[in-house]
Amino acid sequence: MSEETPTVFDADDALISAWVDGRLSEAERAGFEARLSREPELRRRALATRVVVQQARRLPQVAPPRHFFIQPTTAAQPKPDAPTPRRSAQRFMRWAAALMAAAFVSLLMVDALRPSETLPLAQPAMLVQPMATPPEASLPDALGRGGAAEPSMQALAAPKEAQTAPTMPPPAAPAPLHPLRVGAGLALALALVLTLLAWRR
Amino acid sequence: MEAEHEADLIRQAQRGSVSAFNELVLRYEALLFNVALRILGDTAAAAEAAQEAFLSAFTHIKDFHGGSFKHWLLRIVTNACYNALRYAQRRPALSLDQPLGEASAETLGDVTPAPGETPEEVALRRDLGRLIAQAVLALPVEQRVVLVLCDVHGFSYEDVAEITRTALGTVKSRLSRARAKLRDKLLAEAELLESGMRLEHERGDANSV
Repeated sequence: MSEETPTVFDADDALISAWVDGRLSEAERAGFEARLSREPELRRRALATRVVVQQARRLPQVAPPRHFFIQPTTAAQPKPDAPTPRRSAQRFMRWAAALMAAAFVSLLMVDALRPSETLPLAQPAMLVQPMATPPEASLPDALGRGGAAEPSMQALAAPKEAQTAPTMPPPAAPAPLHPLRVGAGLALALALVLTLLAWRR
Repeated sequence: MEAEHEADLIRQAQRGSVSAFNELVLRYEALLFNVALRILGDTAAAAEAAQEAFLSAFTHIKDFHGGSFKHWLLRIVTNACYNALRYAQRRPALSLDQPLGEASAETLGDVTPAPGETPEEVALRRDLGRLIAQAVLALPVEQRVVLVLCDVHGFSYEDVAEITRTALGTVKSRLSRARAKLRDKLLAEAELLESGMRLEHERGDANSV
């Protein structure tokens, strides 16, 4: 703050102020009053400052418009900065929501970082499909040997449906949810509920 | 005796006695209100600051561990004034240094004539008082607080340093700057007044010629 850095002008004003208040030592006062007799501008400022201080001290006191008594009911009220039950509950909700959000993010991160498992259970069923026409069965046709008269043994052993049914895979079984993901979902849901409650209160 | 009685009232108030505290309120309410009035420049705001200060003092009276109770109360009321000005500052048109009101007849109070004072002297004193009260409200708030405590209410530099919790050098610096501003304003007004009167005089002469 520049206020505390005196300038040359301020030094004279500080002297005037101390002179008005009788705060100068004998030597300082004698030196200052000698200057006052030599410097008319300084004298004018010093005398005007004295008038200002005298007039400020004579400013009238104003009667208060009322009494400022403390009412016993007012005194019994809790301090404005004291935590009320409502404020405490709100604070709890906010902290709990933040904690749940942090738990959600942590669980997601742990889930992302955990080593990936081997092939999921549903995929082998999709890869190993029954073939519509075994290679042995189609070879005679390719050679033009009238293979339609004598089907091979594997073709006979193959189920009837496999020979005629389209190649759609069977419906895959739903993958079981990992406990980490369940936890993350719960944490997110709780965080949302708590945020909503804290906001509504 | 008086100090002992006050200390006793404070002890009772610290034990929760509202009536003991209200005796202290009665003792200091005029001082706190007037300090707030000279800082804020508005009667309603000053009353509110004084009320808030007493309520805060009662709430925190257990934190008072001796020293000057008057100074402790004055510190609370000056803080309440700072809060009021900060609150008003949120309104875009006002700054922290701007008072909430202006020196009106209401905030100046009655200028009762001193013994042997002529009506002209009373009028001059009232005009000067109004000019000074207005100039005080135009000061930066920190200088205003120091000037109000030192010059209007007569507290020593040391008392003001204790009340405002600032260094003695800072109090002296703020006070000398505040006085210089007030003086310059008064001198400018006086010059203006003198020039105006001279002009009127010259006009009168010209018209008469």
